[in-house]
Amino acid sequence: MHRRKFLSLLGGAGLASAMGATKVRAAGNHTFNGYPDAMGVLHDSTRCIGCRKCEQACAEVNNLPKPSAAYDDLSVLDTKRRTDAKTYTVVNKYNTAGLENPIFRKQQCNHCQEPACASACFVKAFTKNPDGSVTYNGDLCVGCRYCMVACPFGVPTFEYDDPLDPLVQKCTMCHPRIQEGKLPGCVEKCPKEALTFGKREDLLAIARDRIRKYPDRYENHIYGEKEAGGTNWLYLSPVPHTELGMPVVGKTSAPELTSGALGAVPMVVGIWPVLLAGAYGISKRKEKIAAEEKAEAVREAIEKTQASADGAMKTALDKAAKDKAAAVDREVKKAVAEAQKEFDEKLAAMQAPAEDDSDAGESPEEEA
Amino acid sequence: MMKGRSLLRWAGLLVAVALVSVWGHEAQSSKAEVSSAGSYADIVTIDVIGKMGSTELPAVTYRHDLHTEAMKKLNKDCSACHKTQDGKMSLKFMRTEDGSAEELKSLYHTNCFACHAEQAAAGNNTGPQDGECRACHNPNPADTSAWKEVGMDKSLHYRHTAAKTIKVSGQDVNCGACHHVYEPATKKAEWKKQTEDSCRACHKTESTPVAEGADKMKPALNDAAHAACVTCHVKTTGDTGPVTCAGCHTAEAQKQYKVVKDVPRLDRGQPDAALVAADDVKKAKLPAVAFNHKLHETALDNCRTCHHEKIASCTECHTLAGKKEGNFVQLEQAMHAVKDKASCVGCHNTAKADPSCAGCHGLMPKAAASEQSCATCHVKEAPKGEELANMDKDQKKAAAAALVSMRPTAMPVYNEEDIPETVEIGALVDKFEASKMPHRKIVKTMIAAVAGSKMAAGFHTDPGTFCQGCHHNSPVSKTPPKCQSCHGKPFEAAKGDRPGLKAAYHQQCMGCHAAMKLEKPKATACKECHAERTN
Amino acid sequence: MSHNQKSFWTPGNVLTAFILAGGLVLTFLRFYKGIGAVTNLDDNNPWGVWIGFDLLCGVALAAGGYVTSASCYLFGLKHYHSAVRPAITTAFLGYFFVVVALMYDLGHPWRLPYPLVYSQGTTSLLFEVGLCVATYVTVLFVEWSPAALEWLGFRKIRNFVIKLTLPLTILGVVLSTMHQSSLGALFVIAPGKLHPLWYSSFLPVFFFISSMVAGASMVIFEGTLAHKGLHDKMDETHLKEADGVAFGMAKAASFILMGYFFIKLFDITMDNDWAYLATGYGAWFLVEMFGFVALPSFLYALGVREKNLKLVRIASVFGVLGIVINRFNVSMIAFNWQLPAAERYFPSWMEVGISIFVVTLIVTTYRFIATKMPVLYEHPEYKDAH
Repeated sequence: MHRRKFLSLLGGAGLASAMGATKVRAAGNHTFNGYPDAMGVLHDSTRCIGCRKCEQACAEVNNLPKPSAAYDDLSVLDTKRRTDAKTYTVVNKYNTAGLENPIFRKQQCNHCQEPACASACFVKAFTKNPDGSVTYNGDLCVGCRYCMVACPFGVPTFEYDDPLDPLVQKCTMCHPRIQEGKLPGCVEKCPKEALTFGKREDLLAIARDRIRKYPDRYENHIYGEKEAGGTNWLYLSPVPHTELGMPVVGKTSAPELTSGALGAVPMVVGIWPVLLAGAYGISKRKEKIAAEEKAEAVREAIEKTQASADGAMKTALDKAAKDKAAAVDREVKKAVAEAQKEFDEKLAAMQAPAEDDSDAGESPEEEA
Repeated sequence: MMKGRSLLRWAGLLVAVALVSVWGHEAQSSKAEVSSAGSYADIVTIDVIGKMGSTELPAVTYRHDLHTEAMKKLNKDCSACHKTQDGKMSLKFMRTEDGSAEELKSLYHTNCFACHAEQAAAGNNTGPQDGECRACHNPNPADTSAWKEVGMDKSLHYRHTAAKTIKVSGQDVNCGACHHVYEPATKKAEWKKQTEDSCRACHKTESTPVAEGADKMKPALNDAAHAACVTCHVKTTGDTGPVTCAGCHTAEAQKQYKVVKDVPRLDRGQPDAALVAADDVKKAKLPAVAFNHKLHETALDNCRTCHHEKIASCTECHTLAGKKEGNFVQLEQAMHAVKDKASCVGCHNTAKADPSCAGCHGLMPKAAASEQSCATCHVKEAPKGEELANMDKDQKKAAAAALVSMRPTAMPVYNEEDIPETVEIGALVDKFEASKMPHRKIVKTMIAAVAGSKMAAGFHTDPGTFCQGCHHNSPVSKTPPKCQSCHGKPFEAAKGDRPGLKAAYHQQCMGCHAAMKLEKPKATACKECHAERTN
Repeated sequence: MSHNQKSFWTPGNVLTAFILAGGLVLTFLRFYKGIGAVTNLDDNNPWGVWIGFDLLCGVALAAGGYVTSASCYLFGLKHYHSAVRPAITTAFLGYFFVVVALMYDLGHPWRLPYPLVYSQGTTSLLFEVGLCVATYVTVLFVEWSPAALEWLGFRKIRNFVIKLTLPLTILGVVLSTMHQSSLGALFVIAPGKLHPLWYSSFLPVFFFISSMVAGASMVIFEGTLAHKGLHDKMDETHLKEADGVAFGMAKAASFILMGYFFIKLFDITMDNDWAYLATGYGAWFLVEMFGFVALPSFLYALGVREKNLKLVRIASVFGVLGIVINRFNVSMIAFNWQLPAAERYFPSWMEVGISIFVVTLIVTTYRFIATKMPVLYEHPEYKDAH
């Protein structure tokens, strides 16, 4: 196992490296302007007559089931339709105020230059091919339908009724046919060349040329030139494109929208553990300091108690010593007094026979 | 403790109130859509104080017709709001002269509120009251203006000149009722025969002095027109014109105007034909162009399209170099600007929108004037240079008349036998039978559609010109190349935007049918052109 | 079970059994007939309550795990210690059942490991979510395992796992930061579909911050429920510390909610979305901001100040509801706001049924664990061993 792959399996670390790379590309000066020779289709709604031949051709080349209403039944155009898992393209009719004739608009995958679906897919089931088409690999699909959430045009559809292998379905720009050198089914079948197939940059030139030559026939806006970072399908219309139900989509491509959020990942992975470990360290240190302070306080308290206990002891001892001394003194005095008394008695007894002996008896005592 | 608790409660309450009010205030005074918003022609922005300088509050959005109607219900007329001075009703609200900003403010507030309060007290549905500042001073009013400019076209002008209710005493024509010029000698506005001009010739968007140094002012167009039209309509009894904003300034009202078809030609001494020549004829490379003035008078319903503000010759303002009076539009552009309806080419382009023309012309690029058509107007017989410079007015007129009379009156076409009867198109034979196009029938129908057109006669100079509607991008010829000589496989990068054969046919046929408003066959009805193959 | 037959069939248990049985039927329907058969999802509305509630709310409400363990182990708030284990347990169960619920929503549930091991779509925010959730479930499992190990009596392994607490907690916070925010970032890719009042390039920040509130509120809310139902299982320390935990969490939640309110205000100002406030969506936005952000913030503050546990608990209900409302708004109510009413999504009863089933599974499992394992009390053999 390669070291890099190993790392990428290591969750957070892998994210940091993988996302880091994305971020650098997304935020750097390198912008992706689409594959140089990518093909595309230009839909000119001033030419479209709403014959549904493109829908028919699409179903034929993609082996899609026939719809309930036959393709030459144009009454279906009276209700707004959208693509589904069995229909990769539909034509809708728009009765725009101010115009006598209805306008028709074909709808299918716009094949973004930087597809939101591919950017959103977490198993890389979508591929932007160098021929301009965006294709899907059902063998990888987990069926999370995030591509459908992400697509600004609401293109991908899902086989909700298939319990075993429900897949996302959408127009492939007839990628296999383009590879064979054929035209996309719808383009080939269009009787009026309302659909023009060619290199995207050529189509842009053609579209600009048409607007220049017929200024009052067209709205001066090529839808898809800048929408969602540019799409490989382009549209010309005689009225503002929003009147033909085309969503207002900013110029920002999907990868640009998400680059900020993805770019924050390495920051989180890099900084959070350091900060959290720091927080842990601080709280530990605080705890330690608190513990030390506590210990100190205890020690002090003990010392204080000790000191006061010692003091008490000392006083008690002193007192005891004093008492003892006083007692001894008292006993001595008592003994002395008794001895004196005895002596005196003896002396008196002796003095009674001789008075002179009393003076002689006094003088040694004084000397003592 | 109690003190702290109540303090916290009050603080919380205050913060909540403050946030709600900030939020509400921001939300209210921003451009939120209000469902009741409408589009009206009578929206007047009262900004008289604003024009004097800065104001505390934004201008007032006021609906005039709403008030006219309300007054009518109260049996009041214009005088309820407009004062009269010297027999003339002032267009200003409750005054004849503007005072200071303070005076104006109090004038509006006093009078507006007084009436609104009175009506509110009477239980009537009325306008905002004192204190509801932003109801009137709304920076983002929800209502949008449906106001449309109104103008005097030939029919409307005729209805005024023919009206018996408009009379000028002592004169047999009523031109003087409206047309006037300032006479310095009498210091009065007087009618001068054959000098009649558009109102715009004198009345500009702002009022201007009547003459250089004069202190008398010519009112702005807006004021002049309302003072003239509305006061007259109000005064006149019987068959009279509209008096409300919506009566003139909405598309609906304008659509309902009675239109008089054949209006007698106006007489203001204009020529039947004129030479359009550059101001410096010696510098001009091209000869002068004869202009059929009389023909164009009938083609247009007003004079203003060409004589934008005042009746004058084109070259008076549009010179080779361009000058201020002509908005610096050079003569070449004034005559040839493709997108401008006031230029010759621009106006002719709009004329091509007619279904009988649009079949061919709708498919042709409009970005530039066709080079082939230069010589149609700039004929070599026309005088130029030295010769032109030496001509006097009458000679020029005569030359113009002569040139106009030389112009063809009918479109040249090929003989019938030269036009193939059918064209078989077998490009889709794998699926359909070959389509047999009734070529001659189509050509004849198209020619018949423009038979009466002088423009078609004048500009389709060669019999082959008409064929070029379909047989485009090749020289004029009786036998143009076949479609497939240019149109082959679709999307050949080297050929740019050139369609393949199938699409070329479909674009041409369907495009023409749609432009000519031919209901049948429908663009999606394949079988009506292509019989399905049976084998 | 230690209960006898009579006491087992309490009304609560009967209801639980009923829900579980119904859930199994719905589960069968879902996997036998497909997603379309049981949901109202369609091509315009690919995500419904299974993502909006089960995933977004589930993950947010399980944030109590990282919030509590980080406060206790990293920020040294030791008196939260008794709250850590219940929180980790809930978080683990929450995440585990988020993954279970996800199985219902995925078209190919058995391919769930694909992004990890087979084909890594590193440009996708969902990849980040998937990777983090997968890792975090494992982390939570290890963090939670001592409870089970103590119960089972595996002393040696238990002691080894306890030593991992610090790195696991740090890893938990890192992973939570990433995937909580990434769940919000999922919607950053769809500026055209999400209403401007809710759309912001700061959605990841909003989601992360609100997840902390969700975690804190959920710890309080859950504590309330546990005290009602499992009071007898709690030991003295737990009971003694419970109120302190509630007040601590409430104080934190109050501050965070206040901050959240103001950054939302800044966001509205930065994008100049004021005008939208006067619309119907604006009114709903104000309900969310004032009723479920400002109000709980105020109630929490008041509750903490007055030491009023009841108020704190009421606030926690608002806090939890606020998270649910916010996640619903972002994923469903304000999503696809420009579509006509007929094309909008409303869940089918079966989708709601599955969600209720999953919640019931969580509650039942929690009750099982809490009654069997040392979660709400400390195991007598391991007292003071932390």
